[in-house]
Formats: sequence, C-alpha cells, structure tokens
Amino acid sequence: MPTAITSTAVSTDPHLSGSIARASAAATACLNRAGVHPDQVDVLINVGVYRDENMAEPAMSALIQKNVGTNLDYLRSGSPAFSFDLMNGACGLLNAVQVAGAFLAGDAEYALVVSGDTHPSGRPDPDFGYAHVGAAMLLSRSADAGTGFGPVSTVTAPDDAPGVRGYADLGAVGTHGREMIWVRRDPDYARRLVELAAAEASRYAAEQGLDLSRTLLVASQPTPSFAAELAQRLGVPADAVVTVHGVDGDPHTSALTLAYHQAVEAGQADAYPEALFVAAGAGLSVACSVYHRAG
Amino acid sequence: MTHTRFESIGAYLPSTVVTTRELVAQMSYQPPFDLEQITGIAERRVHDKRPDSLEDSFVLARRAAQDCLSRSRYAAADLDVVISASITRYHGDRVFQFEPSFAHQLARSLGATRAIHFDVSNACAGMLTGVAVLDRMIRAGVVRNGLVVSGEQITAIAETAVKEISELYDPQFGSLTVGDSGAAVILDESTSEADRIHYVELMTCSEYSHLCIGKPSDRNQGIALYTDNHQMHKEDRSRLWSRFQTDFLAKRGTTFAEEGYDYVVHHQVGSKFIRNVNNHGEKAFGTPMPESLSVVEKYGNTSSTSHFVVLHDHLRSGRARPGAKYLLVPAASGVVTGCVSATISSLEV
Repeated sequence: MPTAITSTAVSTDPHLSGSIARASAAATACLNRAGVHPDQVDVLINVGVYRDENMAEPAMSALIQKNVGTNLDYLRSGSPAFSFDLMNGACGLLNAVQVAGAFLAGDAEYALVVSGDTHPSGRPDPDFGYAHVGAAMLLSRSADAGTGFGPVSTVTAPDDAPGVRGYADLGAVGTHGREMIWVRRDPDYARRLVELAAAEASRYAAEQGLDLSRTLLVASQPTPSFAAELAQRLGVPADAVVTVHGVDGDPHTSALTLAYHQAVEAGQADAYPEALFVAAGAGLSVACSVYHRAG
Repeated sequence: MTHTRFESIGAYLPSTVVTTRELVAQMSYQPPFDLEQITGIAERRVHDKRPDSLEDSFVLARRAAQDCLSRSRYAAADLDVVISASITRYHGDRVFQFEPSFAHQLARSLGATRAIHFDVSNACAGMLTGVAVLDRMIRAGVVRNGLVVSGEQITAIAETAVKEISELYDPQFGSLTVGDSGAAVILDESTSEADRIHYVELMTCSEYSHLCIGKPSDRNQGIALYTDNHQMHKEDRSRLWSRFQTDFLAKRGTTFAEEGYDYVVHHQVGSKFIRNVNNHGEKAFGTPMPESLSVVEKYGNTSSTSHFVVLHDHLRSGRARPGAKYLLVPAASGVVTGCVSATISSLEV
C-alpha cells in the first residue's frame, strides 16, 4: 500500500533555540495531532542538515527521539524504535519518504520524518540564509490504494558545480568551531536550480499522467520567488502554488513539510486531489513525488 | 519474498601506522596506566596529511568503494543507490562538509551517474544503518542494488584528545582508541541461501543519547568526542542488546543457540570491551558465543566502518569457511544496538 501522511506539524517558535528543540517540538505536536503515542513510532528519520554546534555525533535523530519520548530505554519500554539522520540537503524529505515507505512495507506501522536547520551558534546570522524552523511529518501505510505518495524520482545536474556548499572550515575557525558555518552559493545557483527542477517536474508529471493545471505545487523555497518561477514554467496556476509564510529565510529541509502543512491548514489544498512535491537543492539535485490526497 | 545479500565488500586502510606508545608519547598528560594493555590496541592507521596526497574522509570512502566495485559484478553506472555513512565528513583539509551530500559527490566521482544518493549519519552504527536502509529498499522493490560506503578520518578526535586530556577521568580518553579507514559494501537480491542477509534489526534507546557527543572543541582547533564511559558501558547498556535480540528471535520462533552463528563481530571499541560483551552474551543467551572476530589490535576502533573492516580482513585471511553464518552487533552513540545476520559463501577479497 502507498505511504500516506497521517499528520504534519511545524515549529517556528522564536523562543526555542536550535534545530533539535524545534524539530522535537514539531514532532511532539505532530504525534499529538494524530493521537499517536511516542512509543508507537517505529522509525524516526531526521533530514535536517545544519545542526546545533556543528555536532557530528550522535545522530540528531537520537537527541530528538529522546525529547519526543520514543523508546527511551528498551528494558523499560519493550517497544523498539530505530532512528537515524538522512542528509541530502533540500531533497532529504523525499528521500526519507522513499526510505520510510520501504520500512512501512515491512513491519513498521509509523515512521516520523523530522527536520530542522539552525545556525550552529543558535543565533540568527543574515549570511546564513536558512530559516530557523522545525517540521515533522508522520507517515503510515495508506488504507486506500489511491491515497498516498507515488514514486519518487531524482535527478542531478550533469556537471560538477554543486551550486551551493555548506561547511565548517575547522582549520580556519580556531576555537569557534561550534559557532561558525559557511554557506557558499554560486551566482547562477537559483537560475540553474529552477531550470533543472522545471525539467524534471515536467518529465515526472507527464510520466505520472498529472494534469498540472489541477495540481497543488509544494516546492522548495531556496529563494522567495522560486516556487512561483517553477510554477510558471510548469504551467501551474498561481493560486495552486504554496508560498510559505512566517519564516525568516529558506526553510530548506523543512520546506516541503512546512508548505504542505500551511496549504492544508489554510484550506488551499482542499481543491486539489493531487499535490506535486518538488525538492531542489545542492548537487544540483532535484526530487519529485506526487501525493494523491483522495482515492 | 525478496531477500538480500552482501554482493561485494571493500576496504581501504591508510599505510601510516601509529602505535599506541607513539600516540601516548605525544600527550602532555601521561596516564597512570598502560593504554595499550587496557584497550588491547597496539596500533592504528592514520590518514596521509600531506596536501598533495591528503586522505580525507572523502578519499578514504572513494578508495574503499573502488575496491568494492573492483570485485563486484556491477559497474558504478549500474548502481541504483549510493548511501554514504561517514561520521567525519572531511572533504579537504579540515573542511567539514554538510552539503551537498557526500553520497552525491561520491556517486559522481565513481561514475554512479543514475544512482539515488543520500547520506545517513548514525555514529558508529552508520554503515549498518545504511545496510538496514538498503536492505529494506531492495526488499520493498524500490531499488535492485546499492552501495553503502564510509570513509572515516576519525583520528581527528585523537589529535584533539592528545592536546586536551589533563586528568584521569577525562571524557576524551576514548578518542585515543580510534583509527582511520574506509569500507564499502554492495547489496543486491539474494537468490541462494548460501549468500543471504537473514535480518537487519537495529534499535535506538534514546535515553542515553547524550552520553557520547562529537563536536568541534572550544579549546583547540579541531573536532572532539566527549564520552561518559562509566555510564555508556554500564551493565544495563549491555543488557539492551541481549534483551532486544532475544525478543526478536523469539518472535521468529528461534533462539540464539538455534541460529547457529559461526562468527560474531562486535563493534571494535577495544579487546576488553569485546571480551566483556561476549561474556555478557554467553550469560544472557545461556549458550557459548561463536568465534569472535577482531582487528582492534592492529586498526583500533574505526568507528562506522568497523564491522566491515573486520569482515574484509577475515575474508582476505583465507580462514573464512564458505557458508559460514555471521552475526554483526553494533554499539553506537544514540544508543544504537541490534543484530545483523548473514550467511556468506562467495565473497572474495
């Protein structure tokens, strides 16, 4: 059976500091909305890239899992859960949908995909560009074969210019490695990204037989105008494009969950039986998947 | 029902050897105990630091992947997915990379042009996490094959520890046990019970996720690992593995003894750790442990690659009996544990 969205939630609370806290808040809200107990989560996947203090270990997912309260100690809970980080820039959410679907095809009942990016210092930095936001999407097997995610397609640009690089130069920061991060974008990054995303989304839509004039577009937001430009190239009407609000930059790994959540909350998604998720980012990489909202 | 197998494995160990004695000699604080004796680690491999031949995490991973591909029936272009599992993501001299994904750049570098790519990060359970993910993806029909690869320039934490350890109970002592390496494994569908992954079951007990944290040091340039060893290796932590595996096997209607493992491969923390885990297992499962494979004496703790460095070494030694059944047991920050069982017959190294 297809993989379906059971619930979504986001955290833009300015009083929370760091990606772990925001992803955890979103995850807890997401489970509450679904009426699912934390110990019912079988797999927790964190797709956030930029982490508190540039932490390398353990997986951020484990620290988020602890805050959520899922299988704190198997000797006491008796219900195992497995968590890990899956990192692929802005495309991570759709890779996680694919991976979660593989676990749900086995014996997992619920997979929780969380995200959150932060400047490692925990403080806003205008050069960083990524929004301080957390998001969560609870996935399960659809009871209806006509509802859920379709296949995930991925493509990368044929050249070696990744478009954007995010890194901590530990040879240059002295004792400030926990506080500094570099994000370097090529000047033509946004233009190339929208071209690659449009080409792949168009190919995917044709392959899936999607009518783009009747499809909600849920896209990455690397620039404020990216989703609108992508829609224009795809022939998606302006009112079928989700433009996220209430964030202080590119929501990055949370963009798709955030956009879908806001579209559903605002009732914007109601008119569309299908949503086309289009993720685009470093690589250059693009991932697409259709979401059938009703069977 | 679809099953998977290890189709090919590869490894890369840097040629530079640093003995435990040499490492300890670099420390300003001299521990009042013999580190080699208590860890069983005589030496480890350390990456080439020369700018013209730098062996960063990326290079270590790529060489292991090339070694793996050299014996595989698949060319890089045939791969459906590339999963990178490094904890240390050095790409360039001391440049710790977050995006693009290592997997993307490795896939491109290897020529895996049509592969899905993403990184997984799960501390020392990274490669086994990649195997768990890939096993599920093949069984669900999402992909037909894939590569899990990791390069670990993990001795960066030892460099920091050498500079910063100043007392007996320093949380960085564990950092002196690590060694650099790369490892890679290709999985595809199993059509014979002689080459088959029987199960990959992992679990994260997040109550203890704060006990081992890796992040840049705030006292020196570079990355550090801070471990509460006392809490991390408490008896209860050992019981997590045996309880989990006992319950899992019971659901399958079997027991540890009935599984008939020929070899067990634990995470390579140190020879005493491996002995303790086996002793615990023997008591908990009520049966003798299978032969325990180890390379910790000569390579140290190679972090996410450890199980596959052991497996590669064992297969290369010529002592591996075709049709032997292996049990791989992770122990990683998070806290991650579990059991991976595979029968291996036709893996040549």
